[in-house]
Formats: sequence, C-alpha cells, structure tokens
Amino acid sequence: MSPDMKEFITVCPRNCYSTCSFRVFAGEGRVTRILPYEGNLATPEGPCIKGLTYLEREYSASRIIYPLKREEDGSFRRITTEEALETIAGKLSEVREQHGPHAVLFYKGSGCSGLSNEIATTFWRQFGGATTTYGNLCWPAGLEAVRLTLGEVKHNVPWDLANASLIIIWGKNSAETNVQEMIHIDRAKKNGARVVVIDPRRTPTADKADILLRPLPGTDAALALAIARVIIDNGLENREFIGKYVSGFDRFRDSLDITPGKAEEITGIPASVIEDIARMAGESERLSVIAGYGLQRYTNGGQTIRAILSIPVITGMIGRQGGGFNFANLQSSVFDDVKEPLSYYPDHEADRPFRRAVPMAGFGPALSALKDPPVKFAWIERGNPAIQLPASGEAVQALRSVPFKVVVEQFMNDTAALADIILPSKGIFEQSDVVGSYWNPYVQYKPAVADPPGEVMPESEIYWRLARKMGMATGIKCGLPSPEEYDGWLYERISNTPGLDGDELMKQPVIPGQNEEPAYGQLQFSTSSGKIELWSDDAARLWGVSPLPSFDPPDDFGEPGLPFRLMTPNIASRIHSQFGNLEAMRNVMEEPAWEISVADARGHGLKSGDRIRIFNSRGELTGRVIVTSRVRRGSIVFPNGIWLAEGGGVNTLIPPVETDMGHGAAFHNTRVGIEKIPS
Amino acid sequence: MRKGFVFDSSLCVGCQACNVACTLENGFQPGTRSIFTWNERALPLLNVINLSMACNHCEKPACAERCPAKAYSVEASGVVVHHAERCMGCSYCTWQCPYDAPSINKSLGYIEKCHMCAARAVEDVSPACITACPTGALKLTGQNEFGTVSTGWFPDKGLGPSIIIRGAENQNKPVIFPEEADTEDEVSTTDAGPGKVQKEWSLVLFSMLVIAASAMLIIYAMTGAGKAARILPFLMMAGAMAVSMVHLGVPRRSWRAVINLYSSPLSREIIMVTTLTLLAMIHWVKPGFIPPLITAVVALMTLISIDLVYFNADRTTLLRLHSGQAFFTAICAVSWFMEPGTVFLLFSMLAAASVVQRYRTAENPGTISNIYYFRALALPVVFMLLYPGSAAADGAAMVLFMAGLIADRLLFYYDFNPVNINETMKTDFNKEYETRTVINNKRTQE
Repeated sequence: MSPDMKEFITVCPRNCYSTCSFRVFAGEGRVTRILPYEGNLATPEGPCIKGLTYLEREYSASRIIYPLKREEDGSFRRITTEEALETIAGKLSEVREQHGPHAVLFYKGSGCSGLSNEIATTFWRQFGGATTTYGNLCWPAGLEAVRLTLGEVKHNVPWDLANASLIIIWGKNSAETNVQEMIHIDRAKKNGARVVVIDPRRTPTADKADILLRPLPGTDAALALAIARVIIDNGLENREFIGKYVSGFDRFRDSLDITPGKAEEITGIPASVIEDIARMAGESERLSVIAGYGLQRYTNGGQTIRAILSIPVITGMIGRQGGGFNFANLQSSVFDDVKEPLSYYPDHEADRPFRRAVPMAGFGPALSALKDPPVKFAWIERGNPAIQLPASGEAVQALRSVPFKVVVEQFMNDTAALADIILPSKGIFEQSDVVGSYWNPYVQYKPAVADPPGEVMPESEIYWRLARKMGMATGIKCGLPSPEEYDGWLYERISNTPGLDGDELMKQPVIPGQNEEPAYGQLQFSTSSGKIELWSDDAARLWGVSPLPSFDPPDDFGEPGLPFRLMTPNIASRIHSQFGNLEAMRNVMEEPAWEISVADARGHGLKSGDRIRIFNSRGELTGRVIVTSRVRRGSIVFPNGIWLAEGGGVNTLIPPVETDMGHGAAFHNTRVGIEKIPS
Repeated sequence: MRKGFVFDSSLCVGCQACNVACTLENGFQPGTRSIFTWNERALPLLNVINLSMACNHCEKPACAERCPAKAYSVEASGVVVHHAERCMGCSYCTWQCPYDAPSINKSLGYIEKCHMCAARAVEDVSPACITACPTGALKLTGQNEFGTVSTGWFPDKGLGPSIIIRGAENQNKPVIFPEEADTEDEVSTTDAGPGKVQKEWSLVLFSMLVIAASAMLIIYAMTGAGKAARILPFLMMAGAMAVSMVHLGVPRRSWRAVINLYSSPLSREIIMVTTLTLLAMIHWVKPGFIPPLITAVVALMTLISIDLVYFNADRTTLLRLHSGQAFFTAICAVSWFMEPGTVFLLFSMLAAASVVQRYRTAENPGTISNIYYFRALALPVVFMLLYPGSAAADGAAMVLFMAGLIADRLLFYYDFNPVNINETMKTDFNKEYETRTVINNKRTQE
C-alpha cells in the first residue's frame, strides 16, 4: 500500500438492514481496500459479500460512465453531457408547457439512500410538481402495524440481542439479508439463549436454530394468535405490565378463538409443538421477537405483524433490555419531517398540492389509466421498476407507452434498456452524504473519497445543471446547491438537525442524542390512547381491518386451484436487482433456479435439473427446478430481482395488489402451478 | 510461533465473502478459499456445518516437500508460500494436500494457493478473508502448537495443519416441525465431486507407454525376442516424455521437474524415465553398447518409481495390492513370453486375487463397472482360449490378455484417490445420516 493512501470510515447506502460501516483506503482517486470498522457495534466485522464487491462494481468495465441516447434501432450511443442535459431540459419545458407538470413522472426506488436525495424532491417541487408514487414495495404493512400498536417504529440496538434468553426469528433470513445480526444471535446462544426460527423454508438462519417451525406461507397470524392464547390460558401473561401499559387486553383475550388444534389445521404445525413454544415464550425471562418483511407482503400482512407483536406485548417484553419486537428501527431517521410509514400515505405527503400520485403496488395499471394529463415524460432513478414492481409486465408496458424516459443508472439493466436517455449515476465513493439505518441506531457520514469515472456526475449536480438550464433558482437557500456548494449544504443540513453534531458525525458513526435505549424504555407510547394498543380504533378506521389482531386467510385472487404459493425472497448475493451482474458474484453463486420440496417433486414426477413451466392467469415462465429439503411442501421459491437476461422476470406472475395496510405490495400471495417440460 | 486460522463454524453462514475477498485481493481464481459443507443438502434430522478453508499452512507441508520443482517455501511464521514463477503446473501438490489448498489455474497453467495475503502481512493487516468475514467466524492466531481437529470428517495425514476449528460438532439441530421424510436420493446435490484433484488421461497414456516400453526391454533382455522392432521401446519412451510435457501447465519450466530428487517421488520418476529413454535410444541406435540386463534393471526401477508417485499420494493398502500397478502390469506382460508357463499362471492368479479383492468396484454405475467386469472375465477366458492350442485362439488370447492389462491400469487410476476433505466429509456424513435414519425409522415404527 503506497504511503499516499488515506484511510476513511464510510458506509454502504443500499436498501439493507445492516447499513454497514467499513473502512476504505483510497489514493489517486481510487479505492483499493475495504476493511471492517470495529467502532460500529452492530457491524463490527467485515461488510457482506456485496460490500466487498464495490472494489469491482465501482470500476467495472460494464459500468455506464457517459450519457447514452437510444437510437432508432434500439441501440445506445454515447452523447455529451451537454447534449443530454440540453435535450432533457428542452423536453421537460415542452411537456410542462403543453400538458402541465403532472405529465412528468418522477419515479424513485430505494437503490441508494442518503440525505442528498432530498435535492431530487426539491428540484421536482420547484419544477412545479410531478406525478409520483405513493406506498412502498417493501415493508409498510408491518411498519403501520407497529405504529398502530406502539406509536413509533423502533427497537433496541442490535447488539442487545446478546442479552436475550429466547429469540424467535419469525420470517427473517438474517444470514442472507442482515448477516451481521447473526453475530448478536450467536452471542446470545453462547450466553445460553435458545433460538426458534419460524419460516416455511429451512434457511441458513434456520440452520443455526434449536427449533424450526415451518408453517404454510401466509398463515403466521393463526400461529401467533394460538401462541398468545396458550400463554394466557396458562396464566403466563405479564398482568402488571398489561394493566399499566396495554389497552384492549380483555377484548383481545376474549377474541382468541384459534386453539392450538385449529392452528395445526391452518398452519401445519402440530398443536403440541405450538403449546411448547407458547410456554417457552411465556416463561422466558427476556424474549426478543425478530420479524422479517416477507411475511407481511401478504393481503393479511399488517394483521399478521399485529398478531406476532401481541406475544412480546402480553409477556411484557416491550421496553426491556434483551427483549422487545425487532421489525424496524427508525431512530436514525432524524432528517425526515414525516417519518415512515406516514410518508407513504397520500394524505401525509408534504407536497400534496404539487403532487399527483399512483400506487407503487399497482403502478403499471395505474400509470396506464392516468388521464388529464397522461404521463409524457418519465424520470427514473435509484430503481429498477421493470424487474421489481409487481405485475412487472404491465409496468413495462405502461412505461413503454411514455413517449420520453430518462433513467439514471450505473448498469444496463432492464429499466435502463427502456430509456431514451441514460444518465450515469454516481458510485458510493464519489459524493459525500449522510445515511441512516433501519436496523442499527447510527447516523453515518459517507465521505467522497474517489473520483467519478468518465462523465459521471452526482445526481445533485445533474439537478443543479438542469435547474440552471431551465432558469430555476439555484443555490444552498433553494436547496439546489452547486457542486461547490454541496458540502456546505450537507453540513448545514446536518447541523440544523437536532441531536446531531456535524463535526462529530464526519469523524465516525454517531448515535443521535434522542436515541432511546432500550427502545420504549420510558414506556411512553404515542398511540391515540397513549398505551400499547392491542385494540386499535385507528386500524379499523384507516384500513378497514378488525380493531384486534386477527387471522384472515391470504387472498388467492381467484386462483385457489393452483397448488403453489410463490415465494420470491432476497438472497445473499444481491440487494433486489443489484450486484448480481458483477463477475465476483457470478463466480460464486449458482444459476437461479426454482426450488421445490421433495414431497412436491415426488407428486409432480420431477428431479433436480428438469425444466418446468411455471404459470398462473397472469402469464408463464420456464426454468430449471431444484429439489431441496430447504423448501416446504406447497411453496415454490425463486429469488426476486433477477434480470431478464439472467433468466429472471418472476414479478410478471405477481398481481398488482396492496397489503391490508400501509400501501405495501402483497408479493407473496401469488399462487402458481407448475408443469414438467418433457426433455 | 506459527500463524494459523481459527474458524468458528457456529458463526459461519456459508455466505462466500471469504472466497470473494480472496479473489479480489489476490487475483486468484474463485475457490482458492472455499466453503466445505457437511450436510450441504440440508437433509432433515442433521445440522449443516460449514467450514471455510484455504491453506492450513501445515507444520509438515506435503505440498512443499513433494513438489518436484521446489516451487514452495516455508516462512519463519510457518506460512507456506507457493512461487508461481517456479511452478511448472504438474499438479502433484494437489494430490498431496488433503485440504484442497493448492489448485491449478487452468488458464494460467500453474498452481495458486493461499499465502495468507503476503502483501498485507508486511503491513501487519490481517488476510482479506478474515477482514471480509461479516460475522467474524474467521480469525488469525499465532501458536506454538496447533492441536488436532477432532471431527470425523477432517482428514488427518499427520501433516500438522495450523488450524483451530470450533463449533463444528454435530448437534442434530434444528428440530423441524412439521417433520419431513426427505430421503437422500431425492434431494439435489451441488456436490463438488472428488475435489480439485485432477486425474488426467495424459497420465494414463504416459504410464501405459512406459509400461509397454519397459516390458519390451525386459523381454529382450530375458529372451532376445523383439530384435526386429528395436526402435519401438524408444518411440514409446519418447512419446511418453512428450505426453508428460504436454500435461504440464507450464511446459517451458519442465526442466525443474528433476530438482527435488531428495524428497519428491515425482522428481525421481522423471529422472528414471529420462534415463530409460536414453537407454532405449541406445538399444535402438547402438544395440549391445549397454548390456541388456542393465537396461532391464533400469526399466524395473522406472516402473517402481512410477508406482511410488501414486503410493506416496494415496497411502491406501488397496492401491498397494492393486494388480494395475505399473510394476505388476509390466511383469504380467513379460510373463506371457516366459517359459515355463507356470510363471504366467502364478501372476494371473495374483491378478485374479487382486481383482476379486476389489469386488466393490462392480457396484459403480456405468463405465467403471463395465471395465471391471471386462477385467474380471478376461482372466479365465484367456485360459479357455489357450486350452485348444490353435494359433488363432492363441492370438485372440494374447489380444484379450493385453486388453485386460490395460483395463486394470484404467481401474488403477479409478481406485487412486488421494485423501481429500470432500471425500472424508461425504463419507462421514453418509455414516451419520444412515445412523440417524435408522433411529428415526425405529421411532416412527414404535
């Protein structure tokens, strides 16, 4: 390592629980080494496999580093930045003049988080508004469930898991999607804790458990409510805690009509095992329940999370060290005026007067149906809607019919391929920014340590240049800083935020002053009643669900005859559609294939390697099958985010349906059938 | 004090970060560090145990000791370093190492192996695999003594591997509900096969050519037969030399093959083969210049040197009693031409005993069992053909006899299996799986 190399602490800005800190060595405008940063207690070891590949990703030969324009024949040609911005500014002005600002669609995904993304919102606000999306593809049903119950969405610091005596990991595959959580789970185990995993799949996370329950997908609420019933039947609930802090307990208790026997019929888990698990939970001294996001991407997702959350509530584990409910920890979202999930709802959007919004889950059909004005210009950044949206086929159709599209991207993915102009987007080392987390409590500074290759500009500069071309006001005061003003803008933004100190933050990850540990430790709950709400009038009023947690069988969308529930989980080698294109990743990962259980393979006469047709009323795909003990009977598994060129496109089979609350997407309700293709 | 890895299996989720980090740091091919998994198919009733391993930098590194080209060195820290610029790509070290540490990079032609990130060591920074591991399952340690690893699946060849493995006990977890009845043969495998050890056709051809040439030279010395075809042994030996050269990843460094005469069986073999080639040439060009008996003795020594190359890597008794050995095969061939016929009978009986002893080979599906049956049937049929005493039948008997020898040599390569972690892991798992399945079946019946 040459002496002019400098060491920096930085952070990964992807849509991922871990939000790892790591150290980089940079010199001559290039990053050459990635090392752990031990100071982040949540992620003290190395980043995950994806984080390592930044050494390839940022310097990949396939990275887009010049603006590209689509030719008549569909190929892309390099153009100058000036030509690209001139064309875009011209189109924007023309569309706004002829059809109004709502004829412009501003679509953003979750591909790169950071405070700098505020500049995009500022630009479109000053432009006069735009058509945007509401809702979120990922987690809003669960966020809303937690908000309705506890008032806020937060949990203890990740390393507090080491203090738990029983950990129930419910529908989360931390080993692949939040790998550092395994450090803290392992510490708890070494301290004597028991670990129960509830998941239809035997994941690498389940491999580390003492007990694995494999309920039928979508039936988790029935299991949770049966467990709650057994806890109460055995008098194992924490009456003192309930008396002081919980509202609606009596009505909740009286509503519990799912006996272990009935739950066995619904979930497939033996009644005696349900009773054992309930007693373990009820008798445990410090119970931490970790719930994942997959199980709330159902039409009953919000109610499912409310049902699971009732277990740590009635056992009095909320607000305690080593206990609690870990769904999401938004304590580091200190910059948001309106916190998630409220910011997903049309009524709560700060820009209501300026915006017209289409639902994220039903994006394709909704966009196609828009009139007065129809969308004439689309701007897509940080996202890959062509692959990630439900009913992705309809989404692509809707986008195709938009006459002019700009995509800001790093690689030629399926969305970029739809663009008329592609603008290269920045790499993670190329602009300073501030990143929060939804798992660890840190706010983190991400310094600019490498030079952007080619003609790559940070998005803030793209917006600033466009604003100048279009005669809009720019500068720090307007929230559209020039490249020279950017760092000052960021510093001011940090310093104006309560609980943060700009200079401190630039040195190392910081836990904001207002962080509460343990979460809810003050036992104050900002719900309507000021208590933990098992009974929630708001739930009934806002979403039309039962005011109590309930099990509602997941919707089959008129396809109950199809035998498989389609699960499209995230896997270790990718964050949705990112990272899978990198060589380092392709070297070690197997080709994606459809995983089915041994029992189902037997029933369909299938062996590993056979080719199958996967279908429902929305369409069909073909692919290779893998028979594995890791999958439960009745479900079929294919990872989400795989590009079409890699044999993906699974979202074409997924209906554009929202979850019961929070405007999420009910991805996993999908039913499919399969058929062997004779070889 | 020697450096070594400490690995905690309870923290390893098999994410491959270590493998990728090694590739990115050193430019090695993927799998230079790899994850070996016990119960990789996640069959119920048993846990999944991951082991991330590159090189264990053994106290007595067989790779370094037996390398014919002296391409390895051992540092004061105990780190075993492979020097690409000295490697001729013969892959002999991949046979010697039971941990799959050295592996041949086919596109570059030479071996690649973990050197504990030499460039980082200078700066006192831990190897890339360690700094990459997101759960901290992999650490570095310095110890005077690394104890033995006490699992059924970790190969122990007495090399003194510098590794400490924790959390790798089989605990029969997780307990799964609802219970499943998946069986082994129904679940797909992404099995790596017999590991990275390469058994190449060029080696089979090489050894058969040397065996044939040796046999001819011995027959000549004993009976004087084969005068008319003096050039043949030389052509065969020259062909063998050419084939062995082609088999190397870096043929221009083939001269290095002979520099580790002191401790590499392969160096000794190459010296013997070269000497025999020279003698075969003299036998052709200037017959009688070297007494034929001397040439025959050198041929016998050459055959033994070939066998030692394999015995040394394999160390199983099966191979030592194998009738497909180079020495034995040549002697068998020679016995055909010797009087009295009892010598031939004796060697045929010995071969039959060896073949019978290897009866399990017949359990293999496909080609291998067919070759085995052919070998087993050829022995009695040869005698049946010889019985009538007709010239045609005798000719057929000889062809069949020689074909039987070739078949046996092929089976020798099939039976040659250097100790390898993939193999030991699979064997140990199968044993445990059978036990568990039997227990479970009993329980279900009760």
